[in-house]
Amino acid sequence: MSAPDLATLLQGAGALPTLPQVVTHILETLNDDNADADSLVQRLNTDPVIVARLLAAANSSAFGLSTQVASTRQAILVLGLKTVRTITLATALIEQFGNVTSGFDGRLLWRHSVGVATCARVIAERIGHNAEAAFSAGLLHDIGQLLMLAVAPDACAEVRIRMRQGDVGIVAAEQEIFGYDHAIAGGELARLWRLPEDIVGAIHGHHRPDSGEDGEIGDLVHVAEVLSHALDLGESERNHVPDVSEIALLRLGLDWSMLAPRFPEIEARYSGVRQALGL
Amino acid sequence: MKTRTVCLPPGELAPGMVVASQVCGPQGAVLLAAGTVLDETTLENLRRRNLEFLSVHVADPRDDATIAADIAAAAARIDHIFRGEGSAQRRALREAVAAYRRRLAE
Repeated sequence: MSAPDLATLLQGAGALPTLPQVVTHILETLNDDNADADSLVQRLNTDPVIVARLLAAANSSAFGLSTQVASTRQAILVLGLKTVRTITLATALIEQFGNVTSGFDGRLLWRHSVGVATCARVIAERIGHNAEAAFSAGLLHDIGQLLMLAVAPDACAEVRIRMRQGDVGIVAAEQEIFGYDHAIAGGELARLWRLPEDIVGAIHGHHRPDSGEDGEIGDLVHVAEVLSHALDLGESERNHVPDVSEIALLRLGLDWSMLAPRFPEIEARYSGVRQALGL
Repeated sequence: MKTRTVCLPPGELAPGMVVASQVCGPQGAVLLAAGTVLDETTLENLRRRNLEFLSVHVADPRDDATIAADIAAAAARIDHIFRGEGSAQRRALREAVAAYRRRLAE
């Protein structure tokens, strides 16, 4: 059985649903301090699935208010713009790609993505990087796996068998079977979708930070991914902490003693987002 | 009864828990002092302020044998997820997480 080459894989990107308009809007306005709630509300209201999830989150025990939240605007007041954007982004992606991931444990992939996103947000806060952009990049970092699953499910099944048999990491197994890995595929997909350059960099760079090609956010998502594995966010039985790039840590000016005091907070915030998303 | 300190998201906070470290608003004003016992009113106030997490003291009913078992289980999990070799920074991360897990389990 042969896996498709990268060009063929990308031609198959049509097999993936396109990103909803509201997601593109959120990603485009991540670096815009003047982005207003009104234009977000307008776009949110065109997507009933997201509105339902937002209202459910605002009314859930996770926020536990005694009054009922009935509108998107009210949900923004209750949850805060930051949380609304987080829930919207994650819900839209999970809804959109639900079919692709139904064959394997899609829940696990999304829990992992939420874990990496949470770590990325806390690291960004610590080093003064844009925390929302870091969160979004974390959420999207494994989008290449979804593309590979959609276009080449059999080859992906082979990757998983190879990982189990050899106890090798996903990148090595994908390289062996596809000749490239999900970070490369995801970076190309993000480019095709015209996502912001820093998100493209984060997706492309998260497994090869030593190259330094993908800027600070590539380093940041790489370190966030390692930390997320180390804190066991996602609780996969077969969890394995990958090696960390010492160069990436140096470039970010980070060491673990700076992040260790925030381990409890990372776990609590991760649980909070999971509860809000019903993951 | 003994207590332990845990950091929880808003959905897991409950009346009767004791605030472990003070909570400040964006302007630095103290919203809740350490030692405050949470009740429905304080909880609703915190949620209205979009609180994402809070450190609290909770009752710890575990006996010594259970605590020892929890510590051993946490150490075994660290051994499992950090299996294999890695860089000095990966070893440093392992130490940091192991120390944290041990404190949590104690």
